[in-house]
Amino acid sequence: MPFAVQVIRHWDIRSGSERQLDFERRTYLFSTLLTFVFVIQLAALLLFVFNADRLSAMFVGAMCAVGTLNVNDFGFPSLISQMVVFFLAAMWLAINHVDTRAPDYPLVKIKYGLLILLLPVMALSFWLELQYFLGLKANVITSCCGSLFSGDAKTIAGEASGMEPKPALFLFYGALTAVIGGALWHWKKACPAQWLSTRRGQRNGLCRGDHRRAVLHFALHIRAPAPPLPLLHPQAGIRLSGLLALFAALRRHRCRAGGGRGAAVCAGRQSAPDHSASFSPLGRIGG
Amino acid sequence: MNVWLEKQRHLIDFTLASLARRKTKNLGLLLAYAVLVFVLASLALFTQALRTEASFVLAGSPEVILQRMVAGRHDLIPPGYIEKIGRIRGVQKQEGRLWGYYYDPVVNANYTFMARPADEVASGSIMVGATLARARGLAAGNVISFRSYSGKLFAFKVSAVLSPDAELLSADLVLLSEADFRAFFEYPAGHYTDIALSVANPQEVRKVAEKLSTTLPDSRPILREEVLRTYQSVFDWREGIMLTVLAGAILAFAILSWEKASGLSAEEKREIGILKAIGWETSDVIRMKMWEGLLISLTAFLLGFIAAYVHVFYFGAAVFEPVLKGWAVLYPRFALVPTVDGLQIATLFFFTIFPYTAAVLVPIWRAAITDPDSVMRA
Amino acid sequence: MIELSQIKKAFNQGQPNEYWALNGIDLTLEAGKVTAFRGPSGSGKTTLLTLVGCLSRPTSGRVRFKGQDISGLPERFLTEIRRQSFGFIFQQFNLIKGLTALENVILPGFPTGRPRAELITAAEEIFEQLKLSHRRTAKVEWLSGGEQQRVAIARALINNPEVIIADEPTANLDTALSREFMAILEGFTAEGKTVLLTSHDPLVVESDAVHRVIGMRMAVWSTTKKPCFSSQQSSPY
Repeated sequence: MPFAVQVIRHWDIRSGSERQLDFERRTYLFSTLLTFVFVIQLAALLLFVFNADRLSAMFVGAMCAVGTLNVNDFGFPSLISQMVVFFLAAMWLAINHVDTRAPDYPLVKIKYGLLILLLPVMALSFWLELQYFLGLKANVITSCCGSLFSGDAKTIAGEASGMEPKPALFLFYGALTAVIGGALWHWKKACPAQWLSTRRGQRNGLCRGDHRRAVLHFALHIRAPAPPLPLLHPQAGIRLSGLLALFAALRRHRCRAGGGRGAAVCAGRQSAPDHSASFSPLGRIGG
Repeated sequence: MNVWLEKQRHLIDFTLASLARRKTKNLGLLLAYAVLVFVLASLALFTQALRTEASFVLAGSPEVILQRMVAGRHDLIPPGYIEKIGRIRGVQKQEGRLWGYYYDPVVNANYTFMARPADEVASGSIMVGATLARARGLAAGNVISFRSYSGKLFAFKVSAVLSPDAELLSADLVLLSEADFRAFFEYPAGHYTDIALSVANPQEVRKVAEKLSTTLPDSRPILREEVLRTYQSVFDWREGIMLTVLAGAILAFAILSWEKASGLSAEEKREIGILKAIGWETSDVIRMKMWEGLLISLTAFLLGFIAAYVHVFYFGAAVFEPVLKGWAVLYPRFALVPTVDGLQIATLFFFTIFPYTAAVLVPIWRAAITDPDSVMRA
Repeated sequence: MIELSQIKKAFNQGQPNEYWALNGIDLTLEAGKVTAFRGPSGSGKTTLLTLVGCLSRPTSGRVRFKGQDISGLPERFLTEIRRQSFGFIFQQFNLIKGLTALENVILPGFPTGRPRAELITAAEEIFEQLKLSHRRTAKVEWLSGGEQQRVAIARALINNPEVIIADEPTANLDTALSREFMAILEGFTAEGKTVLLTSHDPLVVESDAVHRVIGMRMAVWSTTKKPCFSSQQSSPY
């Protein structure tokens, strides 16, 4: 952390001083570490969700991952923070990749600024996860999917997962087209030969400013996929776009499981009987 | 893309050659790694197999068991109790069950006696669990006598030994006819130990249990899913204890890998210096070292996992048996049904690769930033 | 081809044992010629070679290679230039033990992502030229000194560089082998390659193959003109 601040204050690519060389070398360490975090986070996220699903047998009232995550207050915050870390790490790696293609490392300050932002988020995520796991008690009655997808409550999750497939698909592809179109437009505008041939540009000593701009445009696009969705639900922001896929997956999964048993819980709009809360400490095996 | 692939191939080639050149150093690490994976994988496979076994066995048991409580203690079901339940929608069958424990001083063990309908077990004969049969040297056709709690001697003919498929739960089981059971334990007529109800739709089980506790406030319904959960918890708890013990081993392993990765020999340092001088980039060296780590981890994981598989499913997990199965006198002997679970492998893989990679990252970076001009200055 | 202006290089900067290996050097090196740096150890000739060869960056000053300023480039880009344009022959040969001659030679080609078959063909051609084909599958530690050096030369040539940099190339060779090396050197000039070397071996410095000798001293340094080649006069610091 103090290192990142130092870099932001003292970075000088023209200098050949040993401190500058040290800065540049540490960048390799951070990119390696963050690649590690990124890969691990991706794996951990998948394992977290799938294991939560598997663990649902352990908790009264839990029928799937959603139930397991509802066992205590830290389940969903932990999941969301993990996703945030994942996307931030991905963003950092993308910026780093773009940055290291230009010989003057134009994004280095942004990069280290983001790193300073990333560290507390990662610490928070770790803390939440720890709290969640330490707070896993098998005898807690959890409310499961029934309440989450109940039609009465106008939650974003409910809204997103309750969306008809057609408008959802339309929205998705619309957003995608907008993003790709925007990106292409920027590329065309910002010195076309420039961006794709940073290396050639560097050898010919081409316009550095333009170059920097192209790189920045690209970096901005990394976080572009969000826009259209928050327009519908301004308060949803990042949360929605990330959770959408997950909820859709969970919901589908639950429907499949429920359908076989002929239950109506998965309809989502129907209020399923909350059979879990009323009962069950009785059911524990005793002496 | 092609260039990238070709580059990775080159790096892997070089890595393999350099691993082969430092056999002893890498073999030690590989061995420690494989042993760790072996222990963890044995543990995971074993508890998973036990869990599968338990749910397999419980699959045939009734969905709800109703016990009567007196002063908070489990008591006998009095006559007329079953009729009181009446008809509950969704319940297919309800029957009184008779079972109890019997202490056999000959082998210092407790048996579970259970009454079965007359069409299954004829009066005067019994069926015994495989473990019990082994402990008392019984085979079908033998005669055995038990002294009842009231001091009377009862002789039974063993009509069959129960199939060893589910030996975990039937280890100490003795099945006998209802008349024999009542006579042996002097069980009051009309009374039962508990009531078993079968419910076809699992979604209705909780509703049925709810109705039962309303109509019979002095009773306690036990659900099969609860039992299953308890079994899972018990196995998980034991697995947890083992894992806690092994956490130390994982830590030790991480320290070992850190030490191995950071304790580069002068020869290796020189090599990296040469590579950098002749045109390898820092990230090439890091990548090469990553491949090295990946190759070691994958090999170790594969070796450890296969060894664990053989250990658990062919040698019955000889190392962990006492800890994980419990300390019963009648120790069930049974072959676990091989079950391998993808998610479990993934989790295991994650938890063994993670400490290793985390431990070697910084040393790798430190080696990779060797000055390219170091070979010229030496 | 290579211009140095006001080059300074410090080691252990900011620490009590800080010292300046180079202190304000201006120099222009021509393409297609063999230039030798001569001087006692500690005069900074090796440091100079590392700066020219993109192995390190000057603490201050400019290095231009074919008109491009490379002094401010990060390691990542320096490495790329080094890989493409420079081949190195080290005093200790610096071959990797346990690998065969051929495997050693193709190592610099790995980061370029050239297919292995192509690299091996290129390496075998170079072996052919250096009359070393019969030893290509031998482990380098079993080779004689002269053979080891030829492997090192082959390795320097694998990426077909424009500039060959040799640090004390004949220090570990006897007279006959040194002469052989000088013959190979002449071959490089014939191919139009630029050669930079450091040496205090009279056999090298006084050889006809060397076009220009630059003498270096601890702080002050001078340039000796060879009779038939002009060389720019660089101002002593």
